[in-house]
Amino acid sequence: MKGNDGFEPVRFGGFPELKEAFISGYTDATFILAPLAMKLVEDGVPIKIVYLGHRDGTALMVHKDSGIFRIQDMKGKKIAVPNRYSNQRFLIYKALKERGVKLEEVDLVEMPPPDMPAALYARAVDGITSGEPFMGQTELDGYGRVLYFTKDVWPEFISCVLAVRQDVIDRHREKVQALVDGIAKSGVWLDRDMNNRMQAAQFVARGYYNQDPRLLEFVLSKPPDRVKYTNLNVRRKDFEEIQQIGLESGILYRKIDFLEYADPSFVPPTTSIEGFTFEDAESKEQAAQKGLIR
Amino acid sequence: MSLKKAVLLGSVGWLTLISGLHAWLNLGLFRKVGAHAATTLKVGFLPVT
Repeated sequence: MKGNDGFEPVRFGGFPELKEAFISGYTDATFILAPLAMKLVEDGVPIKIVYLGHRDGTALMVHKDSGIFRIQDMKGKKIAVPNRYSNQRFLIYKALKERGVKLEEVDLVEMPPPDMPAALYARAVDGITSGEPFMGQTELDGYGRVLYFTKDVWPEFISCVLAVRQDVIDRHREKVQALVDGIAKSGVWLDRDMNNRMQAAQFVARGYYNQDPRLLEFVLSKPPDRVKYTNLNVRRKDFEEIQQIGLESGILYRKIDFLEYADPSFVPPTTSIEGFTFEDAESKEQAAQKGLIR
Repeated sequence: MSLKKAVLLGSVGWLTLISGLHAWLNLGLFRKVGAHAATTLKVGFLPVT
């Protein structure tokens, strides 16, 4: 699907192929797992994290009939994570460590997020953790139970970030700034009013995610702070915490300076961000017919 | 044309074709460069938060 205003969204099914397309130059920028972006810089790939995609918006789901009710009950179980370089994996390490359980006592498997609901349904794994709407899908379909929302275990959790190739930053700085500004304004619009979220659920589900709108309606509203789209600044403190966990858990191998992998110069001043004044008539009508817009 | 010549020409032609495709698709050769190139930024994503 062609984008507007000089941007073309390119959808991928899993993080390995998204990463390879980014490294090869097929994509100029990408939303990517934060630790994976840091790992690419560690390996010498010239990219920079310029903004966040969202905060929170991740959960760990277990089968409703499983005997897992506490985080430490994951001991000896098989849990699917999106990628070894994911903050979902880092969070499991952090949460288990706080409860005296070693990561080696949990069997972690890497799995593309779209495949996770089916794996949990078939009980091929005991738990899954990834971003939405795949976690909410298991809940909505009645076989998944929330073990934790990341917002409750690691507040202001960062999952995906916007990374841009350095050569694109050097040649098209104004376009990168326009992209970041657009994300910022969209985030303010989404978080300003639940009606806006319900409208977005209609056109994003069909036009970009190719999913049932009811999924996005659910994860954007239950609870209302399940995923947040404001406060997307690239902060040194947040990333140094991620790096520390990565070094402790043996995923990252050397400490690199924040400004080697991040470029916060694109972040607009929070007080100056005005949300879009946007309304999609068709989406608004669809949401209103379902009683989602008041 | 002898068989040997045909095989040789065919091999050179095939090698040229494959190399050109590789250079175009994977190495970015023969694409526009400069200020007017790449006015559209491709942004990758997974349909997941």
